[in-house]
Amino acid sequence: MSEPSEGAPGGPPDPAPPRTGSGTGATPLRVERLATRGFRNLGETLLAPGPAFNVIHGDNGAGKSNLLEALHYLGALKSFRGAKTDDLIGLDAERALVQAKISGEAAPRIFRVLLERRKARRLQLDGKRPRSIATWHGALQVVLFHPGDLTLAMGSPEPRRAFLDRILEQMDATYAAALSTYSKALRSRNRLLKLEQLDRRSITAYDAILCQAGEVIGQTRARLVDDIAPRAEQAFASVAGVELPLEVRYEPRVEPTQEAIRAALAKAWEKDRARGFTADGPHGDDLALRVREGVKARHHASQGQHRAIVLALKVAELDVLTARIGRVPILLLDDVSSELDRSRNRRLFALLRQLGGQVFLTTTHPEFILLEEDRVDFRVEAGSIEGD
Amino acid sequence: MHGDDGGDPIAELVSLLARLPSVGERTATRLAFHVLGGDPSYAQALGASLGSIHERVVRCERCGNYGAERVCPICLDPRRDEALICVVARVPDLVAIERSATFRGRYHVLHGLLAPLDGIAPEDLPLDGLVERVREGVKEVIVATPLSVEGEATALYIAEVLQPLEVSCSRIASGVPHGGELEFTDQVTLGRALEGRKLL
Repeated sequence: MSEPSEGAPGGPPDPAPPRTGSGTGATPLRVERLATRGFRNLGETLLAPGPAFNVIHGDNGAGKSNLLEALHYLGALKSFRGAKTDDLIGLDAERALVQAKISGEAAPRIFRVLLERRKARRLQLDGKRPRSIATWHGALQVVLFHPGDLTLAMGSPEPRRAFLDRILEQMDATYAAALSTYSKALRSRNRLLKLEQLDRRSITAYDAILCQAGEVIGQTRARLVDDIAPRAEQAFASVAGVELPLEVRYEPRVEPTQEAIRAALAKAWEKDRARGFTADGPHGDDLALRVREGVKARHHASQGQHRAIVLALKVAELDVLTARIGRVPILLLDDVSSELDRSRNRRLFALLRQLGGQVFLTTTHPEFILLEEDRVDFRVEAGSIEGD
Repeated sequence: MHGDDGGDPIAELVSLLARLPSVGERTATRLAFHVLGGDPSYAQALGASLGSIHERVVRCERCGNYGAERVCPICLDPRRDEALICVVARVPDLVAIERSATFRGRYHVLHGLLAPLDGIAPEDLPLDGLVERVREGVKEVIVATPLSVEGEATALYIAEVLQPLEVSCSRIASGVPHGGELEFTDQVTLGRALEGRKLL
């Protein structure tokens, strides 16, 4: 339809100018009390975590990760293991409750999630239903590292795009809307491309939608990577020590402007028609990670390096969120130190201490967590938790 | 063929009612027992009304609006501007625009939107009729489809189809509701309102 008028604000407003989160005096979000009931195998749990490092240890299957999952659910409102509501409710329970008192604003706030079988999830913020999910996400941010995240450094671009999308969706409603519009328009276009009889004009209709939403997506991602890249590179150097430097770059499939996307779609028309799907656009973007000149991490890096790269990305995510929202998110590390050697392990904790947030981490061997101070240990045994 | 009601007339009624939008199993049960417990003449009137609705109400052969005759009252109204057409997805959208009492043209109801994922293609919509009406002398077409992906795609497709014809084609604006506080307007709407700003 109409072109945007000249000088129209292109997409969402610019984010706050980047500044380093650590050392700016941003208040950390801090879980002061955590209560769970009927969540996975966890019995009735009441926890008073410490302000810095909380080390949750226990044997495999005891329920350490379930506790982390409960905390993560409170922030993300979904399971990082992709579990459905019914799987989150304990086998002999009808409902699961997770409630936390979290400080970081003028007064502590109470976050409460009630999951029931065959019913809609119920959320309460300070005893009231939140106005929207955005209100909730605006009040509580968590950053998670779990072993499944290693695909960020090893696999196809898809998890790396998802990493960027998840950060942006929570902070930027315009981005979330553009992403959902783009994905539906793309699926529609691909469906049309597979038809034997095709009206070219119906494809053109989707091209215009893809161009508009694609520009917002590409430019917002590029700005986020501008913020994340230097922080991740620095974090990688800190954790990995004197080694090959990490290079983080946003690599869009097509330059993220409406004109460029429109030209790419037009150019690829014959190819798209023959193959039955849309080749070019932000759905082909990558967040390139390189540990050696020109070689992507997934082709050339050790297990330990992969782990260090992903940890560096997570530290950068935490730091960017801190800078943009003015509070330090809660950091959750599931089984983090098992494959880092002692010196990397020590450097990681030194770096996390600098960021100044509250950290929860799980391990089978608490002695591997090389922290002498600021730590509180909890032992999980068959779903019940005790302070050491 | 009413599922597993096994010939029970109450179960049959409940399962039929439960197919209506925003009526669940519980509401359907309440409604069924309400009708059963009430005056039989009401049930008969309701049944007769439902049973004959498709014969008594037809789609206008020009615009697709519902009416009792082959051509609807809006299309027959001589005070309406016949050079101006507003395209809507559904009849309730037409009713909403009529209530605003600001539009003095005529309508074209699509009874759907392009949705490749649901198998709805251009030939499933009455677009030939729209082109024909434009050829007969319509000067301006306003596309008032919803601001969803389907609504946008349909609007853009209509613009493509009408492009070779001598007609001005526009899309309704979107923005902040009347009396709306900017503070409480969602970010997406606010972003669109800023983008679609007007010179003072």
